[in-house]
Amino acid sequence: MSISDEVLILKFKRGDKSSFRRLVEKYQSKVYSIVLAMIGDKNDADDLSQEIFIKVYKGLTQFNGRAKFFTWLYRITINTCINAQNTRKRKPETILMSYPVGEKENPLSTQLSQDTVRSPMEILENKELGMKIKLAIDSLSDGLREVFILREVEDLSYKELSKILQCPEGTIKSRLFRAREEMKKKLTPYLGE
Amino acid sequence: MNCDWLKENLSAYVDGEMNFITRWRIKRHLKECLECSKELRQLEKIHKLSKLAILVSPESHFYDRLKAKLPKVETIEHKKNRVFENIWIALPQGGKAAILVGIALILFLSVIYPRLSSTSLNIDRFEKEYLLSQETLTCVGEPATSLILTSE
Repeated sequence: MSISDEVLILKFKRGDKSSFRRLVEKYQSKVYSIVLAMIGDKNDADDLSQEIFIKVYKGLTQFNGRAKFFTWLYRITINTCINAQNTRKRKPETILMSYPVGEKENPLSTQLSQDTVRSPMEILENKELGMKIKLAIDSLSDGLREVFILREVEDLSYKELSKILQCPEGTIKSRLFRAREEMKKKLTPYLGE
Repeated sequence: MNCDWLKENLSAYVDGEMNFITRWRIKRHLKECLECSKELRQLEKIHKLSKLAILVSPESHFYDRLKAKLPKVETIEHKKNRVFENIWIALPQGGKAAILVGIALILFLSVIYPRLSSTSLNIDRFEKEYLLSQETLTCVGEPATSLILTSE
């Protein structure tokens, strides 16, 4: 049975350093995936993910538990990505090299394929399609991209997304609709319909 | 339900953000409308493929590399002594409310209620009234005794 975030935070506040390690291990893949999808460069994504967890480490003693931990974590993640986008020049030419597509490099994909999506995984093995999807995500405007990425990574509800992105649920709904419409336009030839 | 409305709301349907009645109506429409069913399949495919494309693991030894950058533990003030504060944080909202109501009740019973009732339970006043009533009884009793004696 996995220990809840609240208990891990409580233990950390009491001085148990291993609790922080467990929090990092629980969220590192998701945070890294969000950052990589937002920034597009593998090295920058790694540095920024570490920066995010350092911010979490410094702020955890002041975390009051009014909001859920992951809401706070993803808010820090999105803010850090937006700040990085504003200060660093984006490197679109590195996007295609940044994402490991094969199953061996992507344990989460393997896990997903074992559940329900064997057919899409088989399609995704076609590297060309994988790259098209990544390019389509990258071409979304900033407001649409962050909500689309957060939804796809964590399957968060519209209520949780509205808390993280600090906007009304109606805005979340319309942004996701627009993001998917854009994705559909770019990927229609590859969707097999 | 028409196709235009459904296409605008299909994204929320895929995300499970519809109420029971609307979901049922959409399902019924999807059974009959081939065009909307095709839209739904496309959206579901985009959802699954995007998830697979986005989710990746960081490079190995992520935590070990992070650990080297973390500030020293001494710089962070771990509030070991604040046990009650930590318990309070871990409590659910209902538990917190119950504790606050309990504290308010104890305060009322131990501090406020005795002061309210003390005005009606004034011992000095009670003693005076008791003594006065005794005196009255004695005065009333004497003629009665003499009356009995007289009759004898």
